[in-house]
Amino acid sequence: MRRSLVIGLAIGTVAVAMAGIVAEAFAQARPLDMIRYRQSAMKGNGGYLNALNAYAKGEVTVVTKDTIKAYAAALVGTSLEIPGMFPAGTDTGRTNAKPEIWQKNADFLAAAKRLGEESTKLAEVATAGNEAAMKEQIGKVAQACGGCHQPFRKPLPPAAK
Amino acid sequence: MKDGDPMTATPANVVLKGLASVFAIAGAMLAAAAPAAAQANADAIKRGEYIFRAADCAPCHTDTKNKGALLAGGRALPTPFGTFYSPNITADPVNGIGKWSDGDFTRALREGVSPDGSHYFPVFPYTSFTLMTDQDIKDLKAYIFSLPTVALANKPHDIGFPFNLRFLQVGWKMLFFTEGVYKPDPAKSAEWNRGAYLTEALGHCAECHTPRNLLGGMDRSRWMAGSIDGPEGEMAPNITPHEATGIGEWDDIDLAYMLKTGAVPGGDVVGSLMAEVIRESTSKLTDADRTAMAKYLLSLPAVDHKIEKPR
Repeated sequence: MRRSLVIGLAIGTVAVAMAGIVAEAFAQARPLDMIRYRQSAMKGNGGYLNALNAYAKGEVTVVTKDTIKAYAAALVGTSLEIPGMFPAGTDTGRTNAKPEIWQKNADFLAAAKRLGEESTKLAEVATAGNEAAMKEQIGKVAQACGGCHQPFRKPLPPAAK
Repeated sequence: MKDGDPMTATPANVVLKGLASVFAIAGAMLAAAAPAAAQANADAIKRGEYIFRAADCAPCHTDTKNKGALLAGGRALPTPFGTFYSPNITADPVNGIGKWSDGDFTRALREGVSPDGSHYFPVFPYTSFTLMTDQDIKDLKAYIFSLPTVALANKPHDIGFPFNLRFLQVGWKMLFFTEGVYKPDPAKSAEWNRGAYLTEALGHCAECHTPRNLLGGMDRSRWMAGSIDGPEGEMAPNITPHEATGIGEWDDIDLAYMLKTGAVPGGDVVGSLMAEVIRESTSKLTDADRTAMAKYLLSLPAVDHKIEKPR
């Protein structure tokens, strides 16, 4: 009697544990990880864009076509990931995402697409190698960033440094 | 017609002939004048479009968020005094400004008074537009009147007592409004004066970037030094060249580039309402004009005014 109770308990425990593992596998990753991932990706892009901006202002001569293409590729990559970066449950907590991302999702996806298009064009222009065209296109990429920030990102503290 | 024909010799005929030639000349002049007038109007519309961009009229007078028609109004403008709804300024004769004369339009911008004599609330930045030249105001009207009309009625403002009392605006104007066209400073360069005109008269930058007192008047001692309660509850940064709290680390190239693209030297691209200003206004100006604005702004007195939300 006692023995079968122990076995029964053991089976039950294993079953519960397994169910837990399966549930864990299907559950959303910790929302904070996604928030950190997308914020870091955007910060990285901000770094690339800032390098490109410094070049576009005519101050820098070391920049090669290859780095411009690499930066553009990173921006294209992010633009393709953006649609998946904002799953349900990542709209609260340490995020500056506005609810409009979910409320006007089609507009949001269109803004992400525009970033992809302008960045793709930057890679193309960089391949062709016309300096004036590259600098002009860098400005277009920046505008595409702003096109998403205004409707979909909460205003950040204006530490405009 | 033979010479000495008795028919042509009568005084009446002489008069008729004279009149005929007067009409012929007048007709020819009119025929020549019509295309000239059309050309003049086309030129005014073209100049007016640039003024329209520089003055950033479209965003406030268009309810873009709800896919409203251009200049048909209805955009909610939340302020500490209540929510205003921008009016329809298309040339629709019933709902818009289609019946306004040039004088009506000038008075609205210069004096902040509507054709029926009532005073505008300063949410309409006539406080800046008063600095515009007559020519620019006329051209702006020509452009607005060339755009499609929209028959959309105005939405009443949603503001509480006592701010809803329009006659109080007379007192507000006495306290906070100085009427008059921009007077160039002869001691400064043409570029500086152009920048001042673009920034203060057309761009009306100070309306958001200068802190306001409890009655909504702009604090002249902290011009462009930022505001924690800007439009829609957003903070407007200090854009004086103060090293620690303003944009003292920027130069005119940085600032002109930001006005074109939205990108700030730190790597971010501005969101907030400034993104709208860049998209609809400053990105459409010439490089020379953006540079003039940048140089003007960086020539202003640096004001130590840290902009952050109280926690």
